[in-house]
Parts: sequence; C-alpha cells; structure tokens
Amino acid sequence: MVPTLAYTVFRAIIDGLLEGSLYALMGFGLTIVFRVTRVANFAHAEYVTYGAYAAYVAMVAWGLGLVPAAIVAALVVAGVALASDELVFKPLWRRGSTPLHFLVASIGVGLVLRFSLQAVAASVPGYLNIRLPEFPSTLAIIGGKVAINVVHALAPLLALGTTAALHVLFTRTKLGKAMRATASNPTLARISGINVIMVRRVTWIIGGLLAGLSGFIISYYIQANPEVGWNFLLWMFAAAIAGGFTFYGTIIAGIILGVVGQVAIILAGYYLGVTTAYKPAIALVIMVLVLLFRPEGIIRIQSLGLRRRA
Amino acid sequence: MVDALSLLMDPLFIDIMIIFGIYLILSLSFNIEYGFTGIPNLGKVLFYAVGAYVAGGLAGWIALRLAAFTPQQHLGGPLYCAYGAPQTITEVFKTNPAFALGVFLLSMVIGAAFGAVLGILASYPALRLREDFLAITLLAFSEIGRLITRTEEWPVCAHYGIRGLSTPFAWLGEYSLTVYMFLVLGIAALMYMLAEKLVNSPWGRALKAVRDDELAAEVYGKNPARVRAQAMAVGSAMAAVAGTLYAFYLGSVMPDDFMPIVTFLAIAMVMLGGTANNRGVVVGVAVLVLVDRLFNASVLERKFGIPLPDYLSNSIAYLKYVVIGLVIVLILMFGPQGLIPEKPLKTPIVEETKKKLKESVEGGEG
Amino acid sequence: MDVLVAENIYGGYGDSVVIQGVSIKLGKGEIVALVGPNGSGKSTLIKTIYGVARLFKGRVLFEGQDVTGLPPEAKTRIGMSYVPQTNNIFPDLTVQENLEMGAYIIDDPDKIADRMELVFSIFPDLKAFRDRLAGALSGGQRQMLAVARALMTEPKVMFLDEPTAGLAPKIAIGLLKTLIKIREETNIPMLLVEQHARRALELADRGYVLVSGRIAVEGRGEEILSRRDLQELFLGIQRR
Repeated sequence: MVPTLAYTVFRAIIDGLLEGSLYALMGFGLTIVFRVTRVANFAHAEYVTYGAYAAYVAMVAWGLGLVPAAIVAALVVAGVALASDELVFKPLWRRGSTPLHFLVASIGVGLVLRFSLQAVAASVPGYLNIRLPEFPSTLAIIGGKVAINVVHALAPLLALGTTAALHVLFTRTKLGKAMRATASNPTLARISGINVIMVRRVTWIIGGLLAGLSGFIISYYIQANPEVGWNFLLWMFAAAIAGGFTFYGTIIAGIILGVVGQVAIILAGYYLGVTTAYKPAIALVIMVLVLLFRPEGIIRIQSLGLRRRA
Repeated sequence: MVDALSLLMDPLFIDIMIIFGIYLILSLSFNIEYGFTGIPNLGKVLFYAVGAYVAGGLAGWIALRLAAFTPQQHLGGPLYCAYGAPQTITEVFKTNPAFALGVFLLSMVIGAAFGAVLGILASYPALRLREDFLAITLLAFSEIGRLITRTEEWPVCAHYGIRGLSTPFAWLGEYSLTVYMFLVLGIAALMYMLAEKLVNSPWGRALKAVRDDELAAEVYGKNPARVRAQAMAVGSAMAAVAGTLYAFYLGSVMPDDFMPIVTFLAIAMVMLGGTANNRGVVVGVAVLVLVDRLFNASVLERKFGIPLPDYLSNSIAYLKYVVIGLVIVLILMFGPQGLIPEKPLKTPIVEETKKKLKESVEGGEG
Repeated sequence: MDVLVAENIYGGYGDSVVIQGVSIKLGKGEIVALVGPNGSGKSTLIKTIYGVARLFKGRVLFEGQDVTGLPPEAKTRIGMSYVPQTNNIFPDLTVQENLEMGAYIIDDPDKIADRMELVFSIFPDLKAFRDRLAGALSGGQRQMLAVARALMTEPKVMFLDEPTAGLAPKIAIGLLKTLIKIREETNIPMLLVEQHARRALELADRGYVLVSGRIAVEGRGEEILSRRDLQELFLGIQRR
C-alpha cells in the first residue's frame, strides 16, 4: 500500500509540471521581449487572459473546434502584442525612453487591456467566468487516485515543442540569430545592418503566440476570468528572473518553479501546517531573493550562448 | 448659504474631498520617492496598508479594552477579530470622544513610525538593483504583504479584516464626516507644505542630485544609499498617514483594499500632474479622484439623474481603470512632463561637479 | 579620387559641440591615423562621420556620393564599416555567429563562406575558437573579432575606433600589424583612431593630429613623427 502522501506528492508533481510549463511559455515571452526591447512587460499577463478569451469566443461564438480555437488564441494575442509595441513601446523607444518608462507604460497598457476586457465581460452575460465547452479527457488514473488528463500531457509537450522550435530558430536561421544578436548588443546589431525593426516585430509576435497558447490551456484546463493572467504575472517574472533572462534558463526555471511551488506548498502544509494560500509567496520570495542575491539569475544556460550580459 | 451647507453635508462631496485628501498625501509621498529621488516604489500600497492596519489594530484593541469586551465566540486571532467586536468598537467611538480623538492621534504617530521603519528596510534593495528590477521587487513586497494579511488571523483577522472603526468624530453624530473631511483636508494641506518645504531644502536638492547623477551626488558629499533610505522613510511614513486616514474614514481595513491598483492610481496621478512637481500632483490627484468617484453607475444615475444603458452601468466601474491606464500611456508618450512641468532647479555646486565629471569622462574617451 | 571626404565637420553629443570644423580625407588603399591627446575628440570625429554622434554641420562624401544624413545602418549597406571602441562584439553569440551577423547584409551563402575563409586566414586564432562564445574570448581576441566582424560586409572603407584600447603592448602591436595585412590582401582604406600616437603614425600612410576638436597638424606619418614640437604627444605626455 503506497502511503497517501506519496500520491499527494505525485499529484503535486504532475500538476506542477503543467503549471511550470505555463510559467515557462509565459516567462519565455517576457524574456525574449525584455532582451530585445528592454521592456519589462507587465501587460504580458493580460496577453494570457486575452488568449483564454479568444479561445472561448472562437469555440462558443464561432463554433470552432479545440485546435482551431488554440490557433485563434495564439494569433489574436500575437496581434495584440504586436499592436501594443507598434502603438506604445516602439514610439517610446524612438523617443529615447528609459527601461523604467517602458515598465510604467506597460502597466498602463496592462490596465487598458485588462479592464476593457473586464468591462466587456461584465456587460455580456456568461463572460465573467469562462471555461472552454470541451473538457480535457482523462488519460490515466494512477493508483486509483491521481487522474492525469490531456492537459497534463499537452502543456509540457507544448513547452518542449516550443523550446525545440525556438532552438532551431535561434541556432539555424538567420532571423533567429539576428534576434539573439539584437538581444546581445542592439547598437552593434543596427550597425551590422540587421533590420532591428523587423526583429522587434517578430519578437513581439513570438511572445504573443506563446502567451495566447498559455491562455488557451488555462481556459481549457481550469477556467478563466479577466484577472487570470494578472494572477500569473509574478510567477512569470519569477521564472524569467530566476532564469537570468536567458532564453533556455527561463524555460527550465519556469518548469522547476511550477514543480517546486506545488510540491513545497503540499509538504509545507503536511509538515508545517502552512496553508496553500501562501503558494504565490513562493514565487515572490524566490524572485526577491534571486534579485537581491543573484541578480544574474540562478539557472543560466551559458553553453547555448544565450547568457545575459552583466 | 443653504446651498453651501447642504453641499458640506452631501455624502458624495464629502467622499470626493476625503479621498482627494488621502490620495494627495499618497501621491505626494510617491512623488518624493519617484519624482524627486528616482525610486520607482511600486510597493507604495504596502506602506499605505501599514498605516491602515496600525489604525485598525490600535483602535480595535483599545476600544475593546475600554468596553471590557468578552466575546461569546472567539475563533482565533486578536480580540477584535471576534464576533460582535466591530459593533462594540463602533459603540465606543460614538460614546467616548477622548478615546476617538486620542486613538486617532496615536495611530497617526505610530502608523507613521511603522511606515518609516518599513520604508528604511525596503530601501535596502534600492541600493543594489536597477530601476526596473527594483520596481518589480517592491511590487512583490507589497503582494507578499497582502498575502500575509489575507491569510493570517494574527494580527490582522485575515480576509475578514478589522472592522467597526469610525471617524474620530463619530460622537458628533451626523456632522461626524463633515468635520472629518476638514481634518483630512487640513492634514493633506500640512503634508503638502511639508513636502514642498522638504524638496526645496538642501535635503530636497540632495534627492534630485541622487536621482540625476549618483556619481556627482557622491562627489558632492552625499551618500546615495542614505539619501535613498531617507526618501523611502519619509515617503513611507506619509503613505502610512494616508492609510490611517483611510481606515478611520472607511471604518474597516480589508486585505483586498490594498491591491497594486492603488499604487498604479497614485502613479497615474503623479504622472498626470507632473513628476517632481508637487503643485502638479494636486491637479493630477483632483482630476483622477473625480474620474475615480464619478465613474460609478449609482452616482451618475441616482445623484445626477444621468440614465445609463445596461451595458454601461455594468461596466463603468471598470472603464475608469481603462481611463487611468490610458492616462499613464498617453502622458508617457506625448507629455512626459505632465500638466505642470518640473521647475528647473540649479544647484551651483552640483552643476559644476557634473560639468567637471563630464569633462573628465569625455577626456578619457578622447 | 578620394574614397572618403569629410568637409568642415562640426559634431558632438546633445548640445555640446566637440568637433569644430574638421576636414579630412581618405584615399584609395590608404591607412590614415587620427591621433591627439585625451579629450581632443578623435573618437567623436569618427562617430560623427559615421552618424553615431550628432552632426551639427558639414558634409560627408563617400565615393563622390553625399552620405551626410545617412543613418549608420545605411552607411554599412553602402560599404562603410565601423568598429566601435567598446561593445563591439555580440558576447552571447559564438565567434562564427558574430561573423555571420557581420555579413548580415550579404544574402549569398557562398559569398559569406568565402568571406569567412578570408577572415579566418587573416585571424587564424578566431578559426580555432569559431564555436566559442565571443563573451568568453580574451581582450585581444575580442578586438580581433570586432575587426573581423566589420570585414565581413566586404567594406570599401573601415573606421576603427581605438582597436587597441586596453590591450597589452605586444598584442596591440600584433593587431596593428594585422591591419597592414588586411590592407595588403583587400586594399581597404582605413581611418584609425589611436591613443598611442607613435605606433599609429609609424604604421599609417598619413596622419591627422587633433587638438581640442580641431586639426592641429596633418601630413605623412614620418613627417609628423619627426616634428620636435609634437614629441610630448608621442611620449604620451598629455597637457590639458
């Protein structure tokens, strides 16, 4: 007889992998945008929310299937992300704004996105809390206790697939290398004749696509409301910061953060009686500790050449 | 005359004026940190909450002692979390003027002290982090704080909050809020004068020097670390005072009143008015408090008789945050100076030192 | 015909005018050194000509064509290549990727491969480290990579902003000798800013001595070197 705690921990690991994959997808978008454009983008959280709602609208209002809905979510959010750069961040960059200005502006963009959605959702019945009409089917039940469903497999696979695709992009294509070059030394990239405007656009689109997919997964697996992305914000920042804003570091840090967060809070509850309400504190504390004591990040993937510069 | 009197008793007018006073203090404190010293304190609301909780805790604890309150049922946490406690607290406010006024003053002093100490502690990362990471760190601090207040019964009654407070003039009956309004505005005016005096003093010039050119400030004999800690101490104490005023006005202190959105609102107010300009901040606060209070379906419909279509009455409370977000974005894009630009302030020694430094830097590059 | 002519240049940063009416030219296959004491504006001049610093007044002609207002990236495209003094490599990319990014404006892969062969023949050290992260290179190797990156675009003229800054003397001299080698193989004219005046003038065909944003002396390298009144400059004694 396997003890109950073992099942609970196993369940936490499975859930943690799912959550961690989301943190990775979201955090990666945050990282790539930050590295290329220096925007620490608070509005990234809202992109996730928009992804959840776009998928819902696609399925409920347009009658699309699950896969088309995921694609719609990714594309819509890519558009929203691109628009926020074209309308706000790029003009600010042209004016020579500082990273702090970008950050404050992104708070403004986030407020506009979140609360305009909130306003619409509040006036359309049934939109304040959404969940995709198709529920993820169960793949397996382990030990009669831990149910593993489609999303538990989908999210990590998506994170892996994305990582692989991005790896090819960044190491095999001229565009991908140009993106890394721009992230590494924007001035020299410009002098080298790299079309930094195009690099910028592609960066926002990639960040948007990943955020849109994350939003889709959230509304598929649990449910979403207009604040759902905001609740993920500090987690995605924690992933990006712990990963030292390196591309692969962020993905790995995100997954670890998801698993560690779930398992730690379960164990802390079991042994110390800490309530699960403190789970977000894990992300916050990790983030603050990393920033204070190892601001260059704890998981830096140097061999892949995506190191953050001092 | 009659009109003026009825205005002074009008709940909406009182509400707007009190919220104006409170946000003015909060925004001035943000301006000292961000505008004058360059510390992007996205954790502002934490210090505001500290003042509110100090007020709630002190008032609750003392009132219940005075009333010799024994709860019939007490599930945990301090006495003021118990069932029946809020009613008793309110009763003491109404019947004991000495208590009401005394606990108000005491809360202001102790709240400000707590705020200042916490501000100094929170300034520690300000010495080590780049601006944007510092902003995120301070935001994380404020969220950790909110998480604790949501969860812990000791000493804050978790999500139930501390309730039953009243204005220090509750014993005046129907005039209570009107008199409190004058008090809040008076304190706000004092804070404004204090802020103006501070930023125009040598200390204020040190803040700007640290903001504009840390190296020059150091040459000029200012320790940037200490100057930042001082700015955070002053700013946080002021924010705590604002929080205290808020607690006595609202009558309750609840964790979710202290979301980051409060900080963002203060940011928008400062930016709209003009960063590093206290006069501008007054204008910015006035405009956005009006937006904040008037984007309210029941106010518009009942008070002003403006009929709203259904979709608007459901969503108008959210639209105000859209407006606030737009203000932040548009100001940054089109008028980073805000409505009233910062007064250029020349400090001869700093200017000279900066010039010399610049020369030597350029020389090195030659 | 001169490859590059800069006429009556006034340049600087923000509102401060550092370069005050300087005219220089660069002939075919020529190495021209810009020397002068600290703060004389050597780097600023090169940056102003290239469009990185602010140009207040003046004209820049490249192969007879007016390129005065062109942004740096456009200048790169028409064959002007610039090696900044600092931050002149992509530290997060490998050596080979750095060179590929240097050749970003070239579309033909065969041409890029040829170019890379040429660069590796000039800098054999880089070939050995081609898969290494540029950020992990030594100071001398970084500067080599910076020059190599600029060479990848098939430039018709190169601007080098103190390529030997911060290098040990032996390595610095080695790098300067490589510049001669580059000229022998490619005949690219170079405008070289150099802190160490003697070294630069010995190597260069011609030189300009810049003092306080103006040209004090110009002429052939050895001519300037032989002038007694400039000995202080060559000994590295700097007067403000």
